[in-house]
Parts: sequence; structure tokens; C-alpha cells
Amino acid sequence: MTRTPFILALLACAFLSSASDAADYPNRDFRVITGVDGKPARSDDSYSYASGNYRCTNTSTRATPHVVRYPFNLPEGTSVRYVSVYGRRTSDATPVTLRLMQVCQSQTDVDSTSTVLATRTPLGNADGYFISSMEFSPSPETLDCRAWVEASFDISTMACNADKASIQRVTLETEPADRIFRGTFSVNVDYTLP
Amino acid sequence: MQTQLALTAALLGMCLAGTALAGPQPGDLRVTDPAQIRALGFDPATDEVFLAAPVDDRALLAARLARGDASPQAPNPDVDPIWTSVVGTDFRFNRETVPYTFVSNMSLTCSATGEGYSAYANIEFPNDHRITWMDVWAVDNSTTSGVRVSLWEICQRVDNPDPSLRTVTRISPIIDTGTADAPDAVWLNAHVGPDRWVHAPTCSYLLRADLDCANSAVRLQKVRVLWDYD
Repeated sequence: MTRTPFILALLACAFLSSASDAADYPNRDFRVITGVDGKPARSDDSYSYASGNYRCTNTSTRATPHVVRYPFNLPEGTSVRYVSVYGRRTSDATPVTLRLMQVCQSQTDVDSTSTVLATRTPLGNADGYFISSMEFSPSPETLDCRAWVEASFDISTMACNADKASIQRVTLETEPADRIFRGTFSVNVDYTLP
Repeated sequence: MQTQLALTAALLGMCLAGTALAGPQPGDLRVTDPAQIRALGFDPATDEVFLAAPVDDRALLAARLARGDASPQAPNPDVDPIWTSVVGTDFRFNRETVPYTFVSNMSLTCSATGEGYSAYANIEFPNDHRITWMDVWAVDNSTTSGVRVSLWEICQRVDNPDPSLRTVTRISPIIDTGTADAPDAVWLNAHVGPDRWVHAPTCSYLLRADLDCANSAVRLQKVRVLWDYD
């Protein structure tokens, strides 16, 4: 009988932990890029912000898609587990394609090479909202490469409707190389050099 | 029996403390006026918008100086060890039609006429750290225009993109250079309150700058947000 409050507290604790959506992720870092931080690829990519989201607002069709990019940097040695894009695309809206991209250029080369690491066509729920996750393997090379997430709105046959095609945020789930000593010891800097 | 009750109370307290890591906090004001929600840049049909209660940061500033800061502008790394900064060029206006200039000192200006415009910049913090101070550097040489800066938090479930499940909170006071004042180069700061913890898995953070467009007379130069481990 006297254990009842304690058991109830344990159950309440489990409920609150799950309800708060505050799960613990061992050895994981999360970086969230708000939708409004998107960089449109062209000066005639029309956009607007609403509720922290990036919205495609091109009112005319054209052959070239409207592309918005979310570049990111990661510390050397950090592994990327998942890249998740949150957004909306209703069934009657402009088609959207998500890509994980990387461009690399060696230090002795003048040409760069872009690579599509992953591609997704987001599947929205009844209201068009989606979460689309992409795996990122191998992890980006920080020395010669730069990575980004991009959303491509195909406006070749249909103009954008601002309320129906948007990007809410991009989440990077990463794993640091060394949780304990990260940032503490310089492993790539030789202080003996002048 | 008393021991078990005490343990139960402590356990519940810890659980509730865990749930209060992010999102609106007790004392935050829920915005219910649809027009005000729209004016803040959100959708009254889906967004729950909250405004942080005003914080009297005079005691906090005194405590910070007492701990050894040379000045609020030059924080002692031993006191407030880490910060995240964005400069004017990190901001982007809320639509592509707003004419703007990034002048050579990396500040943001707005050259449109008429109404004011909003610019946004993403800002990132590591998980489970406490946001403390927001510092703003700006130039205001206009007696009719100014710039207002605020820090926002958008929390959303990891597993559900439905915006009606999000919460939006303006976690900082508005730092305002004033429209009638022309203070020239200014540094202003404000504390976001004692319990604003970063929860990176679910929350994103962005800075909003409302500029009265006055060309180079009003410029936003830099925003720095401090956070600590306490």
C-alpha cells in the first residue's frame, strides 16, 4: 500500500518523459537550421517567410526549378547520422525534391565536383506536412568539401502556392568523434612551428 | 512512509524539471489576438505564440560584474565562457523584393521606402546549455527610424511536422534603438531570463530584426548571444 505513491510517481515520470519529447540521445548532437535561413539559388527565386518557414512564391512557371539551399559545417571527425527536412507539400502543390549535396575541390585543383549524396521525394500527411530523413554516409570531408541540403521546387508546369510548399526546418543528427575531449586538445595544430 | 513520500515528491520534481527544458515557461504570455500573431510573423491558425515575461536584469548584471567581467561588452571567458554571434550579413529579409545593402563593415541596412521590414537570421546553440544575455551592436543616426532585435525559439516534435504541435516563444525582450532617438553607434543588451535552456533536438532559434528602412542611417552590425553551463 505504501508503495503505491512511488509506483504512481514512476509511471508519471515515464509518461512525462515521453510526453515532453525530450528523449536522451547518447553521444548525439543536434543542429537545427530554421527554414528562414534558406539561401535561394537565383535572384528570381521568389520567397517569403511565415512562421519561421521558407515559402516558394514564384507566381510564374519556368523551366529552371526554384532551389533553396541550407549549407552546413561540421567539425572534422564528426559523423552525420541523419539529415531530416521538415516541411509541407500538399498533393496539389508544386513537386518538391530534397537532396543532400556535397561539393569537393582538392587543394591542388581548380575544378570542383558536386555530388548528390541522397535524394528524397517527401511524402506528406493528409495536410501535406512531411518529415523526410536522409542518411549521410560517408561523412563529409571538411578539408576539401562543403555540404548542404537543398529543396528543389519544380515550377516548370505549376507555379508555387505559398501556403502549400514550404520548408520548416532542417535537422542534423551528428555524432562527435570524441564526446569527452572534443575541443580540448588540438590535434591538427603544431605549436612548434613559427 | 515519510521517506517514500519525500522520494516520490523528489522524483516528480525531477520529472517536471525535465519537461521544462524548452518551450514556453511559466510566466510567458500567450498571444491570442490573431492580428498580433500575424504581425509577429506567424499563423494564428496553427501557431501557439508566447512572449517572455519582462525580466528585470539589473541584479543579474550586477552579479555578472561582481563575478569578474571587465564590462558587459567584454565578458570574462571564465564567467560567461561561450557565445554565438551573427553579423548583419547573416540576416535575410522576409521576401526577395526588399532592397538591402551589406556595407563593408558587414552591417545590414534596408533601402526600401515606407513600411518597416523584418530580417531573420538562424542562430545555433549546443544542447542543454542556458541562454543568458543578448548583445546588439547597431548604428542609428535617424530621428525617425530604428532597429528592433529579438530572439525567438520554435519547438517542434521530432516525430511530427504538424505545425499545430509547435510552440513559438519570443524568449528575449525587444532590444530597440528607438525611432525618435539617434544615438549613433550603440551597444545594447538584455537578459533572457534565468531558465532558458537549449533543447536542440526539438527547438530551433532565430533572430528577428525589424528595420525601419533608412538606408545607411540605420544599420544592424552584430548580435551576440551568451550561454553558459550552469
